[in-house]
Amino acid sequence: MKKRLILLSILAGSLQFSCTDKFDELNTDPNQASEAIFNPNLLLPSAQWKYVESISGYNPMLFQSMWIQAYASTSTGGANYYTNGDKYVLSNNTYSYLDRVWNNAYNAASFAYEMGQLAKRKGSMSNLENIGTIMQIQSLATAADVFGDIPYKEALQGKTTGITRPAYDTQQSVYQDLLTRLEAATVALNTSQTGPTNDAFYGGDVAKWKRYGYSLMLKLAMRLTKVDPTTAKTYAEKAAAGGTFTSVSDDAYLKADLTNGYTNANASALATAADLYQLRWSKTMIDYLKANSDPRLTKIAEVPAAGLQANQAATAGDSTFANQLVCLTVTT
Amino acid sequence: MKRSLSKTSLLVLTCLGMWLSGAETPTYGRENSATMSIDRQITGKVTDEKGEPLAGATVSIKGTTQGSITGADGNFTLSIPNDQAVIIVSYVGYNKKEVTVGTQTVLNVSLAPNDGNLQEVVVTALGVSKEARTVGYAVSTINAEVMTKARETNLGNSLAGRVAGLSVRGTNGGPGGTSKLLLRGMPSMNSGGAPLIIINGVPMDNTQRGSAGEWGGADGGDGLGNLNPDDIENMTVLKGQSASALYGARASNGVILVTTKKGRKGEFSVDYNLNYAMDTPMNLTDFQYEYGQGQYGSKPTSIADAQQSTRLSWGAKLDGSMMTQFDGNQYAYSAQKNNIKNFYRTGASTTNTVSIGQGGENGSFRLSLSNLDNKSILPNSGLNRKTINLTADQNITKKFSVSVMANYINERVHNKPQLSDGPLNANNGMFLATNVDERILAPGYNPTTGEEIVFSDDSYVTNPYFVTSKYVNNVTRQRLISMLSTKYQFADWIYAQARIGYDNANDQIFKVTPWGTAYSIKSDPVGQGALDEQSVARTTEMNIDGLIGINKNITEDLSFNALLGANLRKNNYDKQSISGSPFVLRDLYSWRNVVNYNRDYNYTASEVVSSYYSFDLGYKNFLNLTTTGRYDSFSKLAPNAFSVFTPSVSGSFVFSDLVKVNKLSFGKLRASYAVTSGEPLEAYKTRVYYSVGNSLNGIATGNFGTGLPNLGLKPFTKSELEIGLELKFFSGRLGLDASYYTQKTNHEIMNANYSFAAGYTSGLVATGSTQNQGLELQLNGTPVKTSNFTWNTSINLTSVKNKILSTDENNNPVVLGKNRATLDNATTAFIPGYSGPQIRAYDYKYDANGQIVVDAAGIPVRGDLKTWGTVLPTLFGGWNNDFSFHNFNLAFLIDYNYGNKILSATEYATYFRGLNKATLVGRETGVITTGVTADGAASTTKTPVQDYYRGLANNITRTSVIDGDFIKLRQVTLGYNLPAKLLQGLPLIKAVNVSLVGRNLLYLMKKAKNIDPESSFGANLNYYGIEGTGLPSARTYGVNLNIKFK
Repeated sequence: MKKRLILLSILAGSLQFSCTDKFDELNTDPNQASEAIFNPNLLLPSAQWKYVESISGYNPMLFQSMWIQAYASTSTGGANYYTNGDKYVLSNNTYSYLDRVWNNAYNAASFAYEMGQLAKRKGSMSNLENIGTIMQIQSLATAADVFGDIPYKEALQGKTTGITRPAYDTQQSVYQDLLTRLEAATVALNTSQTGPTNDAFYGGDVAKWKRYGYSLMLKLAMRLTKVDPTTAKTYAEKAAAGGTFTSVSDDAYLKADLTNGYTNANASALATAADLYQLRWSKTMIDYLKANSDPRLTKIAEVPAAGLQANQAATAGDSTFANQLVCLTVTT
Repeated sequence: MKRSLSKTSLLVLTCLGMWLSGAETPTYGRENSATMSIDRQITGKVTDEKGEPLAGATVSIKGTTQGSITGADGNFTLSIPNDQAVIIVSYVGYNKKEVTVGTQTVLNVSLAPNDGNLQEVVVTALGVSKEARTVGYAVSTINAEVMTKARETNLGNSLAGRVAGLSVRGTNGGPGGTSKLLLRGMPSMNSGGAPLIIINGVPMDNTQRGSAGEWGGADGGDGLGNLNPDDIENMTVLKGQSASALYGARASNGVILVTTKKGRKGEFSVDYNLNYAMDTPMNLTDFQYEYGQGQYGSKPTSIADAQQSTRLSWGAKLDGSMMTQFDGNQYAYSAQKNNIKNFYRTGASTTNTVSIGQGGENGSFRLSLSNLDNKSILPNSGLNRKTINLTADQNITKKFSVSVMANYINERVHNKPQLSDGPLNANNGMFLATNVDERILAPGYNPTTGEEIVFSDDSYVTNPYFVTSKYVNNVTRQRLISMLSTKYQFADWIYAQARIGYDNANDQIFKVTPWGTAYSIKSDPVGQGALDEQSVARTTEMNIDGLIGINKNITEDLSFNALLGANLRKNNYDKQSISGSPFVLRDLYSWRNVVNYNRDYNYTASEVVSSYYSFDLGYKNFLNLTTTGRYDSFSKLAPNAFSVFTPSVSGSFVFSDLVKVNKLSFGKLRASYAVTSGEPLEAYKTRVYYSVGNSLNGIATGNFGTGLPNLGLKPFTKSELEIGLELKFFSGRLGLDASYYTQKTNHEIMNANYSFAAGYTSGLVATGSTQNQGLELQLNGTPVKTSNFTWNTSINLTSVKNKILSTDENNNPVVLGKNRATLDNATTAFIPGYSGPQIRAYDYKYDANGQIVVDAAGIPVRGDLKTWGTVLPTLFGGWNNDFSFHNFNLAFLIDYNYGNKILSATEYATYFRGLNKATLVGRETGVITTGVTADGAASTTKTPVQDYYRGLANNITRTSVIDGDFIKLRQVTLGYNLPAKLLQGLPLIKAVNVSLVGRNLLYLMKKAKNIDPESSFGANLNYYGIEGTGLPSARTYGVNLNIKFK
């Protein structure tokens, strides 16, 4: 009898172990792609699209354009959508648009980070992994450009480190570290190996990605010209040596695809007729262009004919350099 | 996947098989050869203290499952293995007696009545029967009789007022509705609250299948509601965590054990039961009927005016003059008070049940067939339920016995009603202006085009007659709950049992927005209506259990019981569904007739492997100690942290055995402590999944979830300390059972929101905690007991205090439910420091002197969002009385409910639409609020009454919060047993009982003015206590006829 009891206990015990070793497999959704099945290349166009969203349309236009005083709002009558951002007055929507820039930038970075991680674990995808790093840097640089100090060192790693409240890092240290990583990733791009298969920027051309990496390096180096001229100079020189964009054909751009839900946010924003009288180029901007005799002034500015109707319509006005006006709104 | 599932089940079966086949190995035979001998028969008679025969007394051989039942003459026959055999004779209400057979062949046993059922047996966790006196925690048993005469379509609702600690609330959802059961307060925040239901030892699925929300929807029903009350013998409620601890991670909401009827020992019997019940809709409104349809004091003057105001009673005084209605016809401008009576109907439910059964020395069986045909009070809606139930036990050999149960249910709900504030709800007639007879809305559609006739300003408020004639929402379920159990008694002190339970439910839903539904008529693409859902779903739960039981006396005074077991549970769910819109051709409700359609497929599978133990130590039968433990491993959890251990310890001390107190016949103290756990809720949450997105200019894209997977959080734990006292006086004529408990959950898993900077925007944190403390009292008495008149009475009382201790990392309130009327301005929520779910609504704005602040229009300004009380009752119970006089029996149940609040959309609507009597104030003059304007001056603005009360209801949402207290005459039954003399001459009939029954009869007290305080549209905890636009409550009258055949 004792033997039987021991046997039974062993059986009961073995049940625990033998029946649980397939748990992880059982707890994998058969209708969704887990890591083993997924192709990380698919995340590249998603990261690219999200990055583009963070820098296009109203998301940056409504507030960033006001804060740097490129635009000034007219804020008359019903025309209050732009509120008084140029005068540093918050409106109801301010936070919402700020959030969108933040969320799109980090969402893009998160796609790029995950893509890099997957590529690394799956192996034989070093170009994709490095392009992941470059896209991540591009997106986080945008976040740092807009917000200054941002969560960086601990960011994006919720799944791997469990950190759900990443600490902020200084803007300077972010740029410095981005440059270090950017150099490593760009140098490591190898044109003799397979490129990304789902590349919405360059169709998988690794050579172009290399130039993109060095061009981005030059841009980031310029961010440090005042606070850390030495580093700025070092990386600007490295970028030049590595080879930046040489022609328009090197431009990274992305075409919208309305039928599949990828709306061109820039077109949406620029085609809004009401905007024509809700904002103006600011005094700061026009003064600057005029003071520097900048020829671009005549390309971006014009004076409409008198009357509300002309102010609301997209008909051509007077774009003579000398005739350009500053916004009548008094800035204080 | 499939292969590994079948492999594991094979392994388990092999394990169990070895337990059973092991019994036949030679080793066992050798060990026991000394005690083996040849059986012989004994006979005998069991009598009471007066020498009268006791029919139906149990005679069993100690340490075995063998036994017999005495016949009508008290006689029994029994095979005994040897002369050392000890016979146990027991009968309800009498002291158990043990007799050693010796050499006797005739054994006459006389039993003495016990002092207050001291030998009472209760069923505890895993179906283990224990002597009630040894149990160290609170257990309540309800016999099914009280639930079958005056019945509820959902068995769960029959428990209202019967069990201390159990709160019961139905849903005003029509046929197939949910019964919301909560044991001991609100068990936890996210587990839904429903107790685990066990039927004959195996768990059955009790998943709630969908609830109406603020935007409408229907009550999908639950699992318990599928059972046929006629098949139930009794229900045992394991309230506390110690009682349910052996169920481990499923124990935290408490457990209800359902035992089905078995074949009675004795002769072959046939029973027939007919139950006929009529539901009559109740009008619990108390509206004003002085002013009629219109706005700003004017009666409508045109068809368009009338259309705008069919649901607004802000018009002129009702004077009986003629007016032009929205349909162009002339009607008298006078009060119409019978809309509920006229639109709804008397619902009729007929249940026919036939059962046959027999029990013998070596086995018993019972087979029943039942048909319930229910017509809802809502026309063209109802339920049909056919059930077949078979239970059988058989002793294959003296040591080996088998029992089976098969319970087949075929339930069809015809047009399950839409509730709350959404289209296709038929209950919107409730808010018609006081002079509108709902019948003028009939037939609700244009017979030529089939298109709905819109009767108000809002095409989303569907014409009620259109709904009752056109709406389709058919829900059917075929379900088989089955159980096979085998038991092998190795020796008188040890047995092994293997059991497999399988619950398989197949659901079909066919739900259509009909052709002609006003809001669904589209011009691009041209079409109308929608196929909302056509689906098939399968839910299965399989449990394989194996256990060894040991009962051994260590010394004469010291007894020892042990139970060791293991369980494998598999849950599977899959659902395929299709939907589409709009229909192109009229009246063809098929996916082939829609412009666009969607399809969906869901599948989840999970397993739990558990092992458990229970050890009982008893000293002289007055001191008992039990300890249990269960170790559950979940496939749903992360591989590095998938196990949970849940222990309990309980003790009882029958002090009346040591200290004799005058008149006190029994006294027991009990105490217990347990730690149980919640179940992990969803499968597949331990990893990130990737998906393919829309292509971008032909380039395939990918995605992944922004919810951080659960990489190590375990389900919450719940600890409970319970103490109890049981007293019986005057030979059991008066009894008291009191329990006090304090319980707390730890590490409840809550939703958390993160910044995208973490890479993920949401996740889970184990920071929630809920506390319940309560007192449960049950007082039983038999004030009168003579030879032909008995009065039994019992009162139960529950006092419970719930408190949310913490929610997420920042202790943010967790918003649960709301109604369409006040939306986010009045919600229920879990708020740390308050009992949950707590109603939050806006108060008036007060100035520094406490004066109400009004705006320029004279309407009170919205102040702070405040808490107004919990939706769960804090003091409730029932008073049950049972009188027997000769062949008559009269029973009634009164239950009471205090301490809860209701968030009432009806209350809001009656203010908004001018139906509430409170809106009579200022009708002729306008309203000047006693308050101040923003600048502090006393308000002198006179506000038109319509603007004032609408503004009030919108701004000051606390006006929608009402008191839920009530006392209700829940049930009355008057039964009559036909005298045996009358039946003597009849060839077939043995006994006949006729009962007149009534349920939900009368509110003896209620504070809510226009609604039933028990009404709600929501079927889950999120919408508990939120009310509006459900079906009216119904009062039930009926008759129950029971015939026992020879």
